[in-house]
Amino acid sequence: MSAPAASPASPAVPDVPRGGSTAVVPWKLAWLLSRPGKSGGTTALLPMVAFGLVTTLLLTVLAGALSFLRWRDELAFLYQLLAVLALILLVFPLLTLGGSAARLSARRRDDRLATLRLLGATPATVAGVTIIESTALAAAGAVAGVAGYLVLAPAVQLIPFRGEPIGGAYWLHPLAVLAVVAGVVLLAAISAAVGLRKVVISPLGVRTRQAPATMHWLRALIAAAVVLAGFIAMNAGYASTAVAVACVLGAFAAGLAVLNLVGPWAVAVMGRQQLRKAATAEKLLAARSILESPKAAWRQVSGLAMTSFVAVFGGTGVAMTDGAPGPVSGPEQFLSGDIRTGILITIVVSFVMVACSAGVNQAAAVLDRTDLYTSLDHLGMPRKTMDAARTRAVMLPLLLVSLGSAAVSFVLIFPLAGMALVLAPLSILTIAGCLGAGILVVWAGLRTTRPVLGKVLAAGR
Amino acid sequence: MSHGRPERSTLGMSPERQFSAFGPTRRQRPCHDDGIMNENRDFTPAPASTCASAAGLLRHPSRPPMLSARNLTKTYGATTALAGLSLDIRAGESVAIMGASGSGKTTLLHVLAGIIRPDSGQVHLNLPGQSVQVEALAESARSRLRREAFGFVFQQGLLIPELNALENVAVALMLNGAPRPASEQAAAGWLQALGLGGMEQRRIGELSGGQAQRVAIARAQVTGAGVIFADEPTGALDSATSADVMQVLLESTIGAGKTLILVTHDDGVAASCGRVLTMRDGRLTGDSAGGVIVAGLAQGGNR
Ligand SMILES: Nc1ncnc2c1ncn2[C@@H]1O[C@H](COP(=O)(O)OP(=O)(O)OP(=O)(O)O)[C@@H](O)[C@H]1O
Ligand SMILES: [Mg+2]
Repeated sequence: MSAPAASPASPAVPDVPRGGSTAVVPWKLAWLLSRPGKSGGTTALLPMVAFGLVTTLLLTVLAGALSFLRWRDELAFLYQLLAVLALILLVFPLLTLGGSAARLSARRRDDRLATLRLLGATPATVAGVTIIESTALAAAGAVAGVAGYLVLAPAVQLIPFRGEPIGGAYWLHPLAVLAVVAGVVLLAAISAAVGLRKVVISPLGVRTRQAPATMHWLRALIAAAVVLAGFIAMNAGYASTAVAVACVLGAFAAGLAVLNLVGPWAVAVMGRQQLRKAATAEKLLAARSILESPKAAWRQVSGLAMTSFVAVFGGTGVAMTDGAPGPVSGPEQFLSGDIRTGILITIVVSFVMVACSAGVNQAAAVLDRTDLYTSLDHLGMPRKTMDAARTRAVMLPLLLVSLGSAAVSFVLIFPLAGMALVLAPLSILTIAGCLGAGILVVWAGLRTTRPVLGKVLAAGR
Repeated sequence: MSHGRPERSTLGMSPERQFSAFGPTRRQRPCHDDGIMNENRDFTPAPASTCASAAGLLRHPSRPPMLSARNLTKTYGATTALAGLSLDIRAGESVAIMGASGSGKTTLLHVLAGIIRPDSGQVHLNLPGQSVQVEALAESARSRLRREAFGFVFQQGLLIPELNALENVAVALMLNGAPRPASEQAAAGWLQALGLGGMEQRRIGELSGGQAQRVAIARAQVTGAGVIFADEPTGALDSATSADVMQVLLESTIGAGKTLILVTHDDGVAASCGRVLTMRDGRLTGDSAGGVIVAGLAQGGNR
């Protein structure tokens, strides 16, 4: 819709005061263009919010993980290992969120491209301006993100590990904070520079010209084989502890691989099934927008697949140790409780990350399609229908992915999980409750984008 | 291309004959669907009128005008888009609105269709059995009025890119509560009739501009709406395609006795309409159909 008709390849810039304009230094031009325009306010705010969320979440998670470094005893290594595991799990949703932020900057850049070229700017100037602008937005967002990290401090400092709250160990070294901010800003600059060429080559409209990618059923076959192998391995009976640990780790890796392989395919299958049975306009719209790119729909929520998978896996382990009589004193007494705390935090944080990126992406999607939404409003499509379709398009893959991977995990360790359910139901219920709460958080994140659509429609009336 | 225009031969037929092809489509219109008519509502759109208008019954001069606007004003900041405009349009009329850019044509169309509210003035919609004060309705009621009683064709098709051609048309009916199978059947009938047979499953990106605009024309009419608003519907097309699409629009609306309110810059297109209005600075400066002009001109002259 809003695909820039102008392509930079066309030499259509007439004899505007060319020499003069190209002489303008990029940052002056960037400053000129940064003045509030018709929709300038929102388009600048969204990427800033997104970069801010990335920074806050990154700093907070990092602070929590690094606080484990304060221990030096022999158990410390296990804690640090688990913290690294949690960080790895959180990298995926964080990357998704970072990607959303970069995409928002890109959209703003598209808006400005035409203006810049009308001003007679050379491609080099355009590139300079866009990189400066993206970087400035990221910097502003990252600084706000640091404030978010400070605001969260009192709450996070209360979380207990090894019997004591994190407290002062929460504070990162100022240099570490600076490094994170610099990293976020640098990544924004790089993604702006790299994305520039891509956007120039393929404006928005081109994407919809292609038929949506189809997902091959072979993925499912391979996945099923892996799950079966894992199941057999898990139940083969263990000769020694070492073999058992190897089996568990192998099953864990295999499970993650399976999820990534089967995820997009499963989302596509669900989309097709939804499309077939869609009886209302919003269901039809939601199914079609999932099918538009099952990969993108999967990517949006894939972080949750890992988390749910690990939640069931680790939760079962914790529940089992809970059921067995453990050490009542010494450093080991907190271990299983701490692992559970860690799992719960990882679940909550990854859902919050997905909620942020889903909300930010949805806001961007609405702003990307202002013309379309306005026209649908003119035709008399109720706003409720538009909102319902947008929500479904995110929530359906989300439910499929989080519940589906929890189920895969459950199957893989079925004997253990089944036992845990009987022996320590409360443990398992806590994890299930957390998953449920996470799903609600994402829904709430989507809910916050309704005023964006409301504003867009109001502007067209 | 040859695939794209199977209707060229049929377009030569008399409109009545050609668009009697829509008979089956009409029978599936939501206006006969009790399901949606029984809903609690603050107005009742006129299925009867929209269905009967094809027969030309409502063009009888003794009937009150179907759409009646009085002293419409609308300003945007310092800009006056409508400056006290009055206008009557009877059922079955085809009205072309012309005028320079910025003269207020789109604003007038939007006020008449209940998309925007005028700052002052009234828009009265008379449908058999009831009459509606359009500008006084709440937003949700106007939204409902638009999807049930009106059809719209915009300059760029503005179709939903993820949906295929068939679904884009069917959605208009589904929004009115019609079940999907019936909606898709009716949509297929319209696509066929507008020369898009065989393209039902194509995504919007796989259609040419002219084909996409025909899909938009089908979408505007599939609900059986009796009033079609079109704002420069061929403004984004080249002249040859433009002529084709305009012919399809005119024959499927005027040819079927529907009311067409069309903004155009093309004198030739305007000449195909029963009545031509000219606007300048938010006022009517010309009306090919006597009577009403006087009021419009007088008002313009008084200022
Ligand atoms: N949403 C708006 N905000 C501010 N000004 C507006 C808005 N909509 C219309 N206007 C102004 O009102 C006047 C009439 O606009 P309108 O769109 O009705 O003109 P038009 O006759 O349709 O022109 P065109 O042929 O270019 O489409 C113009 O001066 C326009 O700038
Ligand atoms: Mg206009």
